[in-house]
Amino acid sequence: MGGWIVSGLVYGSILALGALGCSYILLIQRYFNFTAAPWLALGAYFAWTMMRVLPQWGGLELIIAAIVSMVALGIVMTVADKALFKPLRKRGAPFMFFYLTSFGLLFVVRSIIWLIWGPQAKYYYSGASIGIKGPWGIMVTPAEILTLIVAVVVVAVLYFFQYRTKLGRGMLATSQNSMLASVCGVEPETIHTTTTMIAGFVTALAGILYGLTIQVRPLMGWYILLGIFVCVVCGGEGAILGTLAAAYLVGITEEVGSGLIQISLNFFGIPIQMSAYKVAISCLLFLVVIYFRPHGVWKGTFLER
Amino acid sequence: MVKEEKMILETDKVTAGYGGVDVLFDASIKIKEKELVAIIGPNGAGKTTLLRTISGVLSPRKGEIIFKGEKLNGKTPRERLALGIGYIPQDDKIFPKMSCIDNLRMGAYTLPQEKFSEMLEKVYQLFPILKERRNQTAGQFSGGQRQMLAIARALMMEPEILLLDEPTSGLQPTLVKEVLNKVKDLHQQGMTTLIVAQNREALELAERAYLIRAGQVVLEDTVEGLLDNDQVIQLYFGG
Repeated sequence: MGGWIVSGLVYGSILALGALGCSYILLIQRYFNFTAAPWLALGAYFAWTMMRVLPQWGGLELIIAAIVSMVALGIVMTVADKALFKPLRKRGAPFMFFYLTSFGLLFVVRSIIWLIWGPQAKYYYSGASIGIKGPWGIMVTPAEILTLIVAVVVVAVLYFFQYRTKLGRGMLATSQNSMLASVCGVEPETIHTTTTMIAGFVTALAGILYGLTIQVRPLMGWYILLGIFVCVVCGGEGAILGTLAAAYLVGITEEVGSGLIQISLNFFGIPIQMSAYKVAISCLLFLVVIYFRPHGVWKGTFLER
Repeated sequence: MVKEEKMILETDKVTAGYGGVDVLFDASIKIKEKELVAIIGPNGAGKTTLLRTISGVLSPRKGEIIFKGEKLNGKTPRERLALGIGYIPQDDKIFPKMSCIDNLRMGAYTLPQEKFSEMLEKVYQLFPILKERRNQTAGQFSGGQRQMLAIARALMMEPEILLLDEPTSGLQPTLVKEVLNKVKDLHQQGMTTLIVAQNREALELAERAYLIRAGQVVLEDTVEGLLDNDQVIQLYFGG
């Protein structure tokens, strides 16, 4: 059980970062960023490519690759935003156009990844990761510990940025009332650029941590997109702490739920591997949360604390 | 009627609208420094559109807006704010999910921190209730308090002109008086004000008024003149 919970927390940490990227776009630009799936993979591939270029420096190469990848993805996403979404914003296009553009871009980015890096899975480090024996005999790999720490640190930094900085407050204001925010002197395009850059940073980080704990593959983002979607909605559409709480909830429920169901299936001799159906548990959780807590697991929505 | 040399704000044949539809046609108004001018007219006449165009939220399709001799066309709301134009919209005038003090911080978004503290004290002196409730979420405020907060938010930048869009809309009569008294106090302290008035009490605060109908400025007169005009009073303020 302890192992399942740790796996759930690790998976939840990755989901939280991906979901935060989506939440920022949803709150400020008012559309669900379907492209999060291939963006996440692109971030992981950027880091993988950097790792091939850099020499082995005892882990420092991973930090450099991660920073370069985060900045690169932030820039690529911002360029895409300015080229595709800014004209829609300027024309006051209906939001369905934003969704369709995001959906179309998903396939374009996915195809580009496939063309450049191919379909084979890739790894940041060759060889199996050696686990560390923790309390109650739970085995944890260094990559999993790193993932847990990074997610908490990133959430803390974002929380500070959101509620303690002028730009963060400008983003909050824009998410609540963009017209009033502009009358207060907030430049809407600065907010859009900041939002997209932050979304790029956290999405790339989610991809890198996914690649580090599992593997880098073209459809990696696609596999966790539904989980991200569940976290965004259950977390209260942008409540930073709520998103983290929802992500942990989704991660643990998936791991513990699928583990327990697997034991039952094995007992009755039913030859089904539950690991392939983990997402179904997220969907079920989503329905339960939406029924009992339609505003999310956290108290508020839209970047409320 | 109005001497040219003392103008602080002037709109010259401004046409504006939303999407492909024009709402305001060739609207020309003039406001002198330290004057309180009212705009009256039926719903949908274009009063809010005029204020939005002056504040920069909406771009005019035609015409010019001149503030302190400087043409405002093409300037962003942020640039107009820096020039001294404070705008308080009719609806959604506060950030309801932010605390009172965070709303005031938003009002001072472009101010340096040291100036913010100074302005905050000034605003608290004008609106002591806001100091008492500074940490309360603005969405929990009553209609009158929301209006006070909206005015205070606009005052954080020490504007030279306040554009007030129906400040007493939806308020109960006691609160209407309270809000209008604040507007009157500010005016007496020298604040140039352009107010969209939807009741007689608000109109009576002003020195002059413009009547906008179907997107056009159809009448300009002193408030005394308008109050003597039974037809206007009957039509817009119900007698």
